[in-house]
Amino acid sequence: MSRVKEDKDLVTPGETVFEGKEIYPNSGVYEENNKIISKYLGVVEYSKNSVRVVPMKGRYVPEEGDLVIAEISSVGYSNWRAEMDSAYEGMLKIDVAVDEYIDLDEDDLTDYFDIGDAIVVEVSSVTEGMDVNLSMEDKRCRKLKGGRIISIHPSKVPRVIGKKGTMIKQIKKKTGSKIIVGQNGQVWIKGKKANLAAKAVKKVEREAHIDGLTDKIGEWLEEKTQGEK
Amino acid sequence: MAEKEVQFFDKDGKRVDGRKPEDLRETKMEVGVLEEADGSAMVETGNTRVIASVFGPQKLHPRHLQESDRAVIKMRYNMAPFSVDDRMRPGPNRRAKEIGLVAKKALEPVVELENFPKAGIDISMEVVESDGGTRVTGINAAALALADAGIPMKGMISATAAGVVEDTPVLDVNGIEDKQGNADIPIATINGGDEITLLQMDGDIDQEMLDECLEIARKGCKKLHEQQKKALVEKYESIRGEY
Repeated sequence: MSRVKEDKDLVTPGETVFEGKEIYPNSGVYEENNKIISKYLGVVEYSKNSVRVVPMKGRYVPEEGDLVIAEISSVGYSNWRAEMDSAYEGMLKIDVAVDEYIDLDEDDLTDYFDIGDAIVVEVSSVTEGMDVNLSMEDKRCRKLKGGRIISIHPSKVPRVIGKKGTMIKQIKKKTGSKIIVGQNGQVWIKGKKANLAAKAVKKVEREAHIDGLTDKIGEWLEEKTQGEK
Repeated sequence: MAEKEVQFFDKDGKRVDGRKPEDLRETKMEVGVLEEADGSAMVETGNTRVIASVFGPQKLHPRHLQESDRAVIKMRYNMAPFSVDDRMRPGPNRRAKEIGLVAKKALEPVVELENFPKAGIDISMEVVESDGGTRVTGINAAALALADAGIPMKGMISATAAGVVEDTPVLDVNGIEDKQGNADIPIATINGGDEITLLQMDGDIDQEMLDECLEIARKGCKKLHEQQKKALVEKYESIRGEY
């Protein structure tokens, strides 16, 4: 074992993270000449027998099973297309979008989803050529009404959610807001203190590479909410 | 501009701007200078200043440029009209297109394009001020901007130019040395190491001289790579420092 970089160190693309073959390269790194090298500007994370680099930024790339927040961009004859702040558009077909029977020639699809509507939707499949299919069959999927959407870097989503959802639960509780975090970095917030919740989410994003952030954000929120009373 | 005889070295062997032959110009690097771009960087080398921006991976238009198994880089090199001593006619010209192409080819080997089929990555290098070595400064800035945008890369690209004036190899030629010297050799390396992704030559020199030039240019690239690493990490270290 010879760690060149320690846990939570910042690395740049091309920098050696680990020398030797004792552990295997996970995401964000590659192996060359018995060295594990970073692909991203990011933070090193060691686990028992692997190492990965979590990038600081980056566009969302759809993956099967992700729950994302998307915006309808066009309405077709029997489908919708949805934009999810990625290089690739998603296709939502009618059979996995709506429960009831629709007569394609009689009914107007915009009655269900119109251009500009925000939806919570699941990525059901991604082909090799990056054709993305979406589905509303999961019970968490729905059309979003009211509230607002802010965007963060997709690589920071796990940090905003926190371990077992501690971070997001804390923000929800202390601001009394409804929050949905999409894997694509779109965050829907609704509630009286939505402003504060949005600020908190942005703060987590900015300071994601700092240790013990859940407690720090907790204190910060406490401070802010006390000032309002 | 009337050409007059230039004294390239003074009696101490120092160059027109007071550097020794194997010195780089003072270089400043800053990452994340633009708010709207996915990634951006500004690099200042002496009086040369270039801002690079990266957008993407994003949808690529027109569609016939799409590749089904990898992303496509669109590279733009542009000099501002006020970047040179006389006003430069704005808009693309043959030189700008060529530099855009070689800069793209210098960066392509390290970018993992196969992760983003059908997508496009837009890189733009804007020369704000020009005093020799704009393409290498632009490549340094573009590499920083790519890393800042979170695009997977096998390594960083560091580039500099070596040249020959009065039969002496010099590193990082400035405007006068470039225009009136014997040769100008821009090179780009991966991680400041042995792998070269760009090598051009303009001038008339023999092979020994070329080898010497490459030698000092590689050393220069290594120094620049160290500086690039520092510039990238700095942005996030400063946030950590707040606690």
